[in-house]
Amino acid sequence: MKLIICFILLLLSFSVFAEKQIVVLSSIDELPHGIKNSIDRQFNDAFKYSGYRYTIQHSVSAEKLSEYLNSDDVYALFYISHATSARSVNGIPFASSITNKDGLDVSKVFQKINSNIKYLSIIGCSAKFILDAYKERGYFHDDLSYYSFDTDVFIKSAINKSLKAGAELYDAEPRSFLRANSSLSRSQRTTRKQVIGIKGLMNQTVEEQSDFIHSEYLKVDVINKNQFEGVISVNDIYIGVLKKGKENQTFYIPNGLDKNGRIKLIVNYPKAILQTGAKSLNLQIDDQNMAVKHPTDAAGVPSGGNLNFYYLVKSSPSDSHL
Amino acid sequence: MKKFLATVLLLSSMTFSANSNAGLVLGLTGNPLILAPMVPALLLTAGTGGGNSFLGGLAVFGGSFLGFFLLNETGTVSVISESDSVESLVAEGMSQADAELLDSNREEINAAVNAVFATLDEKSTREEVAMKWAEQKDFIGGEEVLNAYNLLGNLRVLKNK
Repeated sequence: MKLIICFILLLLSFSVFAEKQIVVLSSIDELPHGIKNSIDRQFNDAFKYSGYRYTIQHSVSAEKLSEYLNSDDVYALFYISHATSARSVNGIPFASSITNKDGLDVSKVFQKINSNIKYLSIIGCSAKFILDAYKERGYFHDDLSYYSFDTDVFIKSAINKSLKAGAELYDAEPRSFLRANSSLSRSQRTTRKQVIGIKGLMNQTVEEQSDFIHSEYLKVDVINKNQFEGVISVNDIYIGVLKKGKENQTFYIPNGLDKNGRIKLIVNYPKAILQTGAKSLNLQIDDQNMAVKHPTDAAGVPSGGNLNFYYLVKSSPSDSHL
Repeated sequence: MKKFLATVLLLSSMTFSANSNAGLVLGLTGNPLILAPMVPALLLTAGTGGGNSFLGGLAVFGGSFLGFFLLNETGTVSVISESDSVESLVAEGMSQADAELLDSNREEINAAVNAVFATLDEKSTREEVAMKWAEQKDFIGGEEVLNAYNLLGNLRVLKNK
């Protein structure tokens, strides 16, 4: 009987492990085949015998990134992409961004992360500044460790550094992982080909508790006729991802984000679709007293290039035509 | 040796390409924020054409010979940058009211500048740039915001002289 109970407990513990997932995502335009294989090899070498469920996906969309960042099952997430910090080049200031395969800045998507994710690494140039700012603004939960770079980086060495930086969290023997030519059997390989072992019995995955109270949010139904992908924000705060190929979606804007009597909702589209004509959304707000203003030029093309603006304002009777 | 020659040729072509965009730089001077101190960066930015930046070219270069480089390939110009606040704008010499105007319309101003950039090429003239910029006036918030933005441009140019 004892033996059966032990066996069941053992199975249960394995099922706990199985729920833990390490996710590697990349989103780089025209990623060369050789580089892709190299990424696969580096992470496979590290995780294939680890005991973690392990997923690697290339050319991921903003929607897929958001899904994984908000999944209850993910324990560590690596995201490989082009990025840049806010920088001044000979007097011209450039904005920070994490740009995906479609030329869409997905940096704001990282503002919303499931509390089960304990380790996040963005493998991209100077992305550390973006994560530091998010940490400072309180977007990250207390248990999240993150690692990124404050300089321009090459992919191979950056992956090695990211793997090592998280070793304390997900590796059974992080010290040996960090040490080259260790005498331990698993470390007989070079540091580039270390094998990660699972770290003890980890806490079971916790289902994310929603603190979502409808009365504290403004509900906005969006009709996205062109079904383009985009990232929606208000005052630099991430609201959600417009899913590619999906016409109807609902978003919730937290109360208190209005400035000067209006809520400025900005949709960031990939640069690649700039030439494809009108991208306007139809917004329906769950508040009879609010109207939407959407600036366009004389020809009806939305102003702002790859950023589209929607002003949600309290309407007066004279605005009823809006 | 072949690689070395290819590198030299690639760099030469980049330099040539950048210089050939002098027309674009001249045109952009219609915008008061983009004057002499900023010209070198614009030359570089215009270098590879087609919306790609010089840094993008460098990434391709790196990808070919050095390994894959993860710097963002396209830069979004941010004339009112993330570090600019009402306080810092006042410290630069703006009035409180103008600083607040710029702060509350910063996304529109940055988007307008980038939208104008996206429509330009090496043949764009100063007049065309001025006309395209004038089309953005209502979008960035009207005459008052435009004047505040011009004032900031002048202050920054004076500071960089």
